[in-house]
Amino acid sequence: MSRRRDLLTTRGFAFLAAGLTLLAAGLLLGFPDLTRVGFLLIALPVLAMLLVQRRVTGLEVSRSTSPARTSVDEPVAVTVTVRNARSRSTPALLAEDLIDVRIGERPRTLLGALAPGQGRTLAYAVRPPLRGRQHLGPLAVEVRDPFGLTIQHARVGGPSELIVLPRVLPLSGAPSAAGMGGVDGDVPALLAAHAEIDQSVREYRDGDDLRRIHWPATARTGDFMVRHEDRPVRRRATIVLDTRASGFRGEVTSESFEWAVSAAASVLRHLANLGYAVRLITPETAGEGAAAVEMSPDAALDVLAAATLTPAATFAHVLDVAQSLTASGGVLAAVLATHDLDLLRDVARLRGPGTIALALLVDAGAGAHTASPVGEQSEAVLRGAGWGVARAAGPFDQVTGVPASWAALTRSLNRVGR
Amino acid sequence: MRITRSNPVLAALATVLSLWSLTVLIESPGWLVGTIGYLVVIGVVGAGLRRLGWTGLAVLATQTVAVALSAIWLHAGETTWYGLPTPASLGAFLDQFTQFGQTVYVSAAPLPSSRAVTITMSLIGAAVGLIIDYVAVGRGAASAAGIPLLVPYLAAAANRSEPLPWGFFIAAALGFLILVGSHMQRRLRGWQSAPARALQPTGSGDVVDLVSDGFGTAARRLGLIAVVTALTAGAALPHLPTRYLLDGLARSDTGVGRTRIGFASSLDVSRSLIGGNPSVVLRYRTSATSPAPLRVVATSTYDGTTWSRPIPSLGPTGRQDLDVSVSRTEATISVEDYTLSPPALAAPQPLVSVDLGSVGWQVDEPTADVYVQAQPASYSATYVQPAWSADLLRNGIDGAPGPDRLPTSRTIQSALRLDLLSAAAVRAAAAEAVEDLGDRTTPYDRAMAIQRWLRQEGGFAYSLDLDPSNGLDPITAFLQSRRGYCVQFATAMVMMARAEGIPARMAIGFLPGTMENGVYTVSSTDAHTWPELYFPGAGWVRFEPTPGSSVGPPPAWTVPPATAAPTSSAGATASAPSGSSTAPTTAPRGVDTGQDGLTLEVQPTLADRVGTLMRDPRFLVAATLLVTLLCALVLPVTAALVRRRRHDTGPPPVVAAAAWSDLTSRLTDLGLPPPPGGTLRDWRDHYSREGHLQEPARDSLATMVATVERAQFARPGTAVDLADLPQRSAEIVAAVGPTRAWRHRVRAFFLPSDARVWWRRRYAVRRAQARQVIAQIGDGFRRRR
Repeated sequence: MSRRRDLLTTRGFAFLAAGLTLLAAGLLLGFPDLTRVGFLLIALPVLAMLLVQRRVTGLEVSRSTSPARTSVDEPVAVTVTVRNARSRSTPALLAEDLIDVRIGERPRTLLGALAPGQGRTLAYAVRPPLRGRQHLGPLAVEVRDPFGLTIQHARVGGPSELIVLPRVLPLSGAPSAAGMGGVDGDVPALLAAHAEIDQSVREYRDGDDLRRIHWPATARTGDFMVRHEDRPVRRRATIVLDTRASGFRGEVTSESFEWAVSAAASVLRHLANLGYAVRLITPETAGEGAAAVEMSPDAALDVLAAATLTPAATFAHVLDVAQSLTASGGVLAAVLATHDLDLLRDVARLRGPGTIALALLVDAGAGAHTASPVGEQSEAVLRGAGWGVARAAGPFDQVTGVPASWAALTRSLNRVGR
Repeated sequence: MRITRSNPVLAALATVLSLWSLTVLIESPGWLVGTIGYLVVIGVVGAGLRRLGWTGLAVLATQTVAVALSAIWLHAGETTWYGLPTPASLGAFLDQFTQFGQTVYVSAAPLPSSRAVTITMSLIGAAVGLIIDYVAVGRGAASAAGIPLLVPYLAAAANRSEPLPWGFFIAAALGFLILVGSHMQRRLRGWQSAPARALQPTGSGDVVDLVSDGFGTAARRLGLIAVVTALTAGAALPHLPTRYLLDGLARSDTGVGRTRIGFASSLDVSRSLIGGNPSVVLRYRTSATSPAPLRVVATSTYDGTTWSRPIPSLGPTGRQDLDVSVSRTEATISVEDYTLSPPALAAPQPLVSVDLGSVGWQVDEPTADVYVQAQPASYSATYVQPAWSADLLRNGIDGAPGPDRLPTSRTIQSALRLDLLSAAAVRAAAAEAVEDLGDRTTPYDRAMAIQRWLRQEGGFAYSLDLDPSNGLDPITAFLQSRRGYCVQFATAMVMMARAEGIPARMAIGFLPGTMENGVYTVSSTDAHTWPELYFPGAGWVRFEPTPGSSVGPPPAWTVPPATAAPTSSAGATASAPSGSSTAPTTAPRGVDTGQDGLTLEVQPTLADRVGTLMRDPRFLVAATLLVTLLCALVLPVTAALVRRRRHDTGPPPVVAAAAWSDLTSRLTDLGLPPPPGGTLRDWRDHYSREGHLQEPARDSLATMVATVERAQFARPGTAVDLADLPQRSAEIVAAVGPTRAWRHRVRAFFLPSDARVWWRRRYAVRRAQARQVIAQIGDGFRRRR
């Protein structure tokens, strides 16, 4: 609970100044009537400071959102509970929940005076127009006197976080392997019965990677034991999101990048629904190493919710990680910017022999009626490497554009197949 | 920004409550009813237009038109043309305004409530209401409406000689506070975007209503305490004597400024003569054998009911108009125990010189009246006693008399002006008075005839009680009833002389008073008025038309030799109404028993009043309190200065150490001494624990300790942010404060150890210096030896 200084408002200062002037005039000129008015104007702010302005302490604030995670443009109900934990009642309070200005208007309310133990709830709804980790709160509390002469600010409680997921749009059409010469990834010979990743421990054999030695088991048994990982039974899909700032136009919120994020999220959810084990590779997951293991779609969407534009250099690392993951086949879906042909050639090489590679090219330089030579060349490069490609140009409308691009992509895949 | 309008009904209520104080200036509060009517018009028109989406000045303009139209329909309906105002309507109102202005000019508060007064006052009230409605409702600035709300209250206060009854203050203050408080509540309601609900269900709905919950109660409590505080504090403080910056209605009450003499009902005899209890105005000794009356003011300005002092044209000397050929003697008068308030000075005329000591003075050039800047306690004057005689005045002093020999100055012109209302009666009376003269038609003869007619022949009687005027102007009424006292007699003679072509003016002053052991005592009952008539070469000559022994004999030159020696008694009681307490206080207008407008109240000088104030125990108490307060603030102010200086720039370790020692000393003052020994972090934990620090302050303390550590122990050159140390320190102290006992908090404020240390050190330094000086002096002595 941080406190700023208690202050007279402008009106309070005006009253005080006018009161002092009238008081002096009344005393010097001998007008008790003036003096009375002067005293009244002085007494009001002074008494307000003495009687009304009490330090705001001991307020407990809790905030809950329903649902806890939401996506863009979905309504979220926020409930703020304020409780007076002290043994004194508070002065009449005004409260404003300092939610991020980008997700909606800050709700303001009159809490009134809280008796000891008494509490109030403030319920409001926000419909965040932007994905991301948005903060809600802290709660700004004001104490004002009934004549607006004094004001005291305090901030109670900390901020809570609201994860706003990117817009996930329903897609149709599966990436079919027909005619592609690829499979959905190697199916391990040994099928694990129950889990996606089933780990067990077995004895060390020659040729096993030393890094796989499971030391606790080794100590227990006296023999070298190694971790044994079953290959998942499920089909794998890897989704690469290009986050290079140079590829997406715009300052703070780039429409094309938001489109790309939304596309990545929609594809991710769509493939997960189709039964794929999805992996998301962005600079964030590539850096953390999280991409090495399958993520739940929800966790992947959380990552996408926080995705930001990054310097171009980070993308090389993304490619390295993707290279290691896609070598064994599966579906590779990449959402890419089109501006850098050299890099796209590297991307094109990602497609291994058994891989179905799909690219959604986000052509930030092209409008609805303007062609972009770079975009066409990029498309040609990827098609040449056996990718299925769809190219999106501005204006970037997520609701209609993403499903349309996906449909175009699956169509192009089938056409290639034929 | 969206404007939150005040409640127009409350704005109108505040207006009425503020205007209520103006009722002390008007006899009847009927005008306020008219104002309320206009306020209803303003409110209805305003509400309608604002509902239509009009704003700002357009609403104000339409409301003004509506008020003007309703006033015209109400008061000048016959001048309209199918309901539309015509130039005649405007003229009708201008007439009313002019009459109102005249009433204000001639009357003291409270003003009689005539039609003009009622109409004008109700329109003034409506104007105030329009402004308040525009400011509070139109502009949404309720607190700024306090300024127009203050105006009627101050107007009432400024035009009274005594403070307003406290009820008016309470009414005006409550009206204002209700307006501001309700506006604040409206603003808060508009500010709220989501209602808060009680956690526990309550009986009366769970939505928080700020009126019931805190704000309304707080507003009532705060407002009432503030009003009571203002009343008691205002009454407890001593005030300097009342001073008026402008000439207002109040001044005519006390006569401090423009002296008003007349028949106006507003002049209350009991007030101006201090309840009929004769008080001594002055005492004097004189070298003259038969002392002359002491004149205070001479005036030619009469407006139908009232003699008023003209605007003086002050200079070093006054006109005497006394021809050098007239033989004269000079006499001196030395006055003591003088009590008339400045600028009035009573002196026999024509004056030659006056010695007022250190008091500054000037002379009104046309009348030779002396105006003093301050009240002299005593003074002396030399004046001329011209040896006028009847023959001299009759035949002309420097040639034959006649109207053609009158100077054509403005003074003379205004001394010939007849009052229009009474002109006919005055001319008839003058004709009746002079009809027996036959061929003796010199101005002097005519003047003598008028005086004789008023004193003896006309059948006039001296009376303090006047007959009802029956709507006549005072002079006509007097000439009909033939009953009056010096004011009526003198006024009648002035007017009759003017009707006969003799310049005449009114002199107001005192009879010579009663003599005892060579000292004349002039009391308030000696106040008197007499006419002065102008004769070329002789100047202004005193006449005495008031009959009766009380006034004394007429001047020698106005007594024909044949009828000399009327009943005389030099020490006669004055013409003033000794029985004024029995005079009807509700006398009909224009014929009040008011003797004259000279205020005989004893008005001490400003210096005297300041002196009295200094001896006032309340002043002493207030002064003692003030001095005590100032003394008590010495240490806190020192501490603030010491701390500010300590926070000055320097190398980071020094600044950090200073901030830390500042914090520890302030916490020690608050009864939270540092732990014995230990590291900075030990101290931090100690303070957190003992000071019951909560989250932000605990953070601040941790940050501060970290900063101090870094500043002290980090590699030199490490960047340390020291800027927020004082603020953090203040936060910590502020957080610790409420957990401490009041004893500690008071001591920490009034006796901060920082300041005590500073003063002790200062004392030690001074003592050391003094010792050094003494030692040096001692050395010097020793060496010399």
